[in-house]
Amino acid sequence: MLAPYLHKHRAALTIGFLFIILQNYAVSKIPAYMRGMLDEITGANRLPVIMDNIRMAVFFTALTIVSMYGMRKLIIGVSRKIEFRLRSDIFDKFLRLDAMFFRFRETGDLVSRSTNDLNDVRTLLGPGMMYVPNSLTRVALFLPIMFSLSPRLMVWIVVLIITVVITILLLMPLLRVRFRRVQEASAAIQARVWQEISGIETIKLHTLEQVETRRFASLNRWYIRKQMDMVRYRGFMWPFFVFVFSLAELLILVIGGRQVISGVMTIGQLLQFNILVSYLTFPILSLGWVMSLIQQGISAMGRISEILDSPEESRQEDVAIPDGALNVEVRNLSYRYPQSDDLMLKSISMDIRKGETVGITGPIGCGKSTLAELLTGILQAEPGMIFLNGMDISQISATKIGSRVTLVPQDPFLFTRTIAENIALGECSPAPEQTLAAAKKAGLEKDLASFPNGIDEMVGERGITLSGGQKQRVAIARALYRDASFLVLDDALSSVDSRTESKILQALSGEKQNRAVIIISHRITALKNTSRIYVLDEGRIMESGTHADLIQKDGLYGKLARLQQMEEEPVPQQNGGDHENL
Amino acid sequence: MKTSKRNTRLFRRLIPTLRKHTMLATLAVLLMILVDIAGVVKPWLVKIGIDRYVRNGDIPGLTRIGIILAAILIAGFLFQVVFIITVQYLGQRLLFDLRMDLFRKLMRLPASYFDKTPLGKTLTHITSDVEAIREFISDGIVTVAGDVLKILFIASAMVMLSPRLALAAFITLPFFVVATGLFRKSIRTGFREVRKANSDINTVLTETIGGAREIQLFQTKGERSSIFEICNRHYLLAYLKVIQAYALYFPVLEIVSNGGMILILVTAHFFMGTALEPGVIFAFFAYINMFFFPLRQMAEKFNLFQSAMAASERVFHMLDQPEDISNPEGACVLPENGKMEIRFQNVTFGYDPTQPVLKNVTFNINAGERVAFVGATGSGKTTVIKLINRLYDIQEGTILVNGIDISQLSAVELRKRIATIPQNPFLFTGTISDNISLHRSGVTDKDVRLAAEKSRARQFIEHLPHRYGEKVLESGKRLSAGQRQLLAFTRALTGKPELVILDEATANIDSETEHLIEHAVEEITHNRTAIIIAHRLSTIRKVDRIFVFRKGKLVESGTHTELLQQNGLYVRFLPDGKCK
Ligand SMILES: Nc1ncnc2c1ncn2[C@@H]1O[C@H](COP(=O)(O)OP(=O)(O)OP(=O)(O)O)[C@@H](O)[C@H]1O
Ligand SMILES: Nc1ncnc2c1ncn2[C@@H]1O[C@H](COP(=O)(O)OP(=O)(O)OP(=O)(O)O)[C@@H](O)[C@H]1O
Ligand SMILES: [Mg+2]
Ligand SMILES: [Mg+2]
Repeated sequence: MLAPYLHKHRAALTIGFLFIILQNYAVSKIPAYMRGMLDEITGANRLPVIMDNIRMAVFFTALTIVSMYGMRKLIIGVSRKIEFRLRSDIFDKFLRLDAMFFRFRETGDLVSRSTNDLNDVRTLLGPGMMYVPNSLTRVALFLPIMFSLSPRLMVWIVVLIITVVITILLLMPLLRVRFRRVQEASAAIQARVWQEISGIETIKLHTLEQVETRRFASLNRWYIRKQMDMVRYRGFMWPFFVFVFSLAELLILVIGGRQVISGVMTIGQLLQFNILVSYLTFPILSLGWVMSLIQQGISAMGRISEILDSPEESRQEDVAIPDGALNVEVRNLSYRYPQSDDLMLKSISMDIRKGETVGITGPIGCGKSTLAELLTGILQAEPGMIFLNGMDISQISATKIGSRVTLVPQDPFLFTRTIAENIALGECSPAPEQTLAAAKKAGLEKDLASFPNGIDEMVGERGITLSGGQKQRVAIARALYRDASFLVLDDALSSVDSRTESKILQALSGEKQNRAVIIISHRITALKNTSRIYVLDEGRIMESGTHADLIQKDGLYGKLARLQQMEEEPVPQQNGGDHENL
Repeated sequence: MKTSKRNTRLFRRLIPTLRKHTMLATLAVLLMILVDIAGVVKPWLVKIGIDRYVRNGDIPGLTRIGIILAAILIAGFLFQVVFIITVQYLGQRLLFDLRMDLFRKLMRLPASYFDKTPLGKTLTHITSDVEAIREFISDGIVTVAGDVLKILFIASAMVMLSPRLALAAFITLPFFVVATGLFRKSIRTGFREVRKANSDINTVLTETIGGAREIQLFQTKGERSSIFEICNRHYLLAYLKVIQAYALYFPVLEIVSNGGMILILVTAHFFMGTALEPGVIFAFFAYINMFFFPLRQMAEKFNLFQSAMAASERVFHMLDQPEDISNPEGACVLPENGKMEIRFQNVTFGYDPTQPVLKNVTFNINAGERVAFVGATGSGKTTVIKLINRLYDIQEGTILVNGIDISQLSAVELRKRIATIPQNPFLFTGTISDNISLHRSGVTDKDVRLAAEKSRARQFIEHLPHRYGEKVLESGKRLSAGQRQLLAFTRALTGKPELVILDEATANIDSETEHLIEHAVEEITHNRTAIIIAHRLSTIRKVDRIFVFRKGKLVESGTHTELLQQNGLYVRFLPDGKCK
């Protein structure tokens, strides 16, 4: 998984590893000169000998610091560079994944994978890649020296190292489970807080403050329990390792002391051994920490791979849509949402000629938005079902579709930018006249006048500083700005008053003759001037025809029309006459 | 100077939180002292062992000292285990307190706070900023206090063993201090850049995931990619700087400790010669390691301090925000009469006080009356609703609820009597059933089902694989817009409100379903005061009076017929067919 990333930096890594070896070699040399000095002081105490030893010790210290610098700089630097690449790759993957991927995942989860998990992988690559070889070479270089000083003491040190390693291996699985639980708990807290903040208005309106505080407290208590469960193990582990290594001091004193007494070792050699052990302590003790880094890193990499390995949009063949006006043809379209048993759309066929405006209506949840997203390439239809100018949509890349086809979604997403930038999405320096013209067509002109900065007013996060209708019209302006050949409005006028609605519809029909338009709406007023209306129910087309046809037929549409007529019941005909007279 | 003053101020604010756990904190400090003593005694014992027994060949003495050393080691081990657990527990308790404080604050912050503050920022305060403070207290303050103590112990042990050698060992100290100062400075700026880049990365990520569909639709991938590339590169560059600082600093430590050892031996050569007790060298080498290790830890922890300071500043900033107007002391009790009466008198309000959105609005809604608000989009209808719920405080005029000034009422008590179905319903992650009951204690499963029946949400809920137990994903993205609205509507059917507000509650609902739930609307608004906002006139045909808003002003009011006769703005809102 990480191999290609590592491969790119192989030169730096190789040099980094060489530095590790060099550093440990230098470190292993230093204690001998300390011994030399001590032996000399307690013996003849000659200055030139002392000076020789100092010179060597200084030389090797210099070598240590140079190689230490090189090792950190190279290996940790590489880990950051790989992190950078991986993060870019994850982000690009997000841009290539199709909409369905995001429907099944929470934003918080995805963000956490591309930040926290990535950080864990980085730690695996940085400290992980540096400390493991470091500890191993250190042990490998030190043991022979220790052996030459005192085989017996060396055996004891090996026993201690093995004890530490075995404890790590035994505790690690226990710790890992607990660590994962802590992570889950902290993710749960994160997700909960995110929910509370985004839904704060709902919480206030329903006065859920106390209920939510109580629920949050119990979530937090659960979190503490998980934390303490882990702390109990961690709190044991580190002191235990420290304890094991302090036993080395004891052994050096007692066993080494006896050897000095019996003349097997000099006191200087004992000092050298002592220093060697102290140099070994940290690399060995850190093994426990490094092991847990490695495990966290590996499981984090698994979660990241899930993103990186998700199937991308398959439409890569990239057939171009012929220029000019578009005919849209739907042949026997059926669609099933992933992980769902039932067909959402069932054998839908429709035909929208260039320049035509058709309407779609139907009860809630009948599949209108699903159809709209299929037609605009956000959801992927099977081959042979939807054709743009005779080209199968499943063969066209999202980019090409996007350049010709536009959707105004039912719940548009506004970015935290100015209105102009939201309209001219994706353009770095939009022409002000064009954004303004689009805003005008969408009936935003008067609203803009009421903002201090007009079209350059910042939109609050997700559009919270705009009214419902303003938000919808920014989304419409955004679509009109693109000047697409095929436009789908998914209930895009639901929060707009009927007067503004008819203005926008008029602007739309007058504006571009050759555009194919689909209007999805619950309002008869928005539908009745279209050339054809499709009425959907439970994923099927129940009826279709012009407003007049359908009224005459008196099916579902007729019923809807009648119900909306009733709204005007208290407005008997004579009233209309009345006010004409006024 | 200024920063240290600020730091003490921040620190002082943390004390009350700490004081709640005096017992734990005292225990932690005691244990810490014991751990330190055990640590400092060890090299001393080694020294005695070597000088007194090894050099004199006294094996039984050596064994004795070995046993004492072992006892100390075991004691140190036990103390340390208990210490770590105590300190961590203390940290967790503090975290709990702080987090709950922030959460309660969150619940009391006024709506205007959320208009101005990015959601991600508030999220960071409650999740990671408090975590940074916890780390600062449990790993920071306690450990550093312990370290300072330890350094004092070590220094005095060294001086007691041999003042000359101690002096030699400390010669490197100024060098260390200077190097550490430089290091601190360079990581401080480095980490500041890292944090900035990190928050930019999070913002771009969140928006990209939330707006994935728009990005695909509008071909803004290239642009997104380049924005992200910039943040990401900033992050990398900032970190490379930090790495440079660390790569330079660690060798310094090597110089300092090796230099210390050499200096000690040189001093021994010149001043002690053969009179030297070699055990002293053993002890000194151990002390040097022990001496620089905490110093080095403190230097590394400095980053932790820095970010904890920044974090606590942000946390306290949030805690210092003016509170929601919710619960004034001695709030008037709202007289209960089953129906609410609302009176606006010359109300002027703007989200930004300099930009009034409502201008001099005066009206009254009598108890038990049903009124409708109509008006062009953006004319201020939803704003009036927010004011009635006291989500914002007005700038001029008065709002009276049942004759009492709204600013004298407890907002929570007020909202309890009002059922508002907002324009853009919010669904929580959780089950369908949770989303209807909202975990309110009085709402049973039966109530949920009954409400769903009335609102006609039952039809679609029963089609879901897990029915009421179906998981609603983030903001209900797997439900249709109409279904989401029905769910929000269902919520309101579980209580007994005195004022019902429907803010375009059926905008995404087809007429047939709307007609079916009309009965439910009738029922909840029956005998209650009700405000209905709708752009479709079918929804408002049964109201007593209609208020017409235009650009933040109330321009007309009256019954449908009256308004028609006035032939004013209202007529122009009627669907085409009608006004011709
Ligand atoms: N990702 C998904 N997975 C499974 N089912 C889904 C998914 N998205 C939507 N649905 C279901 O598909 C059905 C159709 O939804 P759709 O949004 O197309 O309805 P609609 O006709 O647009 O309704 P409305 O008028 O309320 O907007 C709904 O029952 C919804 O719950
Ligand atoms: N949180 C806010 N901060 C700043 N300005 C806001 C905020 N909410 C609304 N506005 C502005 O206040 C004005 C009135 O908005 P309001 O939501 O009351 O309109 P509305 O009549 O409900 O419109 P619609 O029919 O479109 O829902 C609008 O110009 C809007 O941009
Ligand atoms: Mg829909
Ligand atoms: Mg509104």
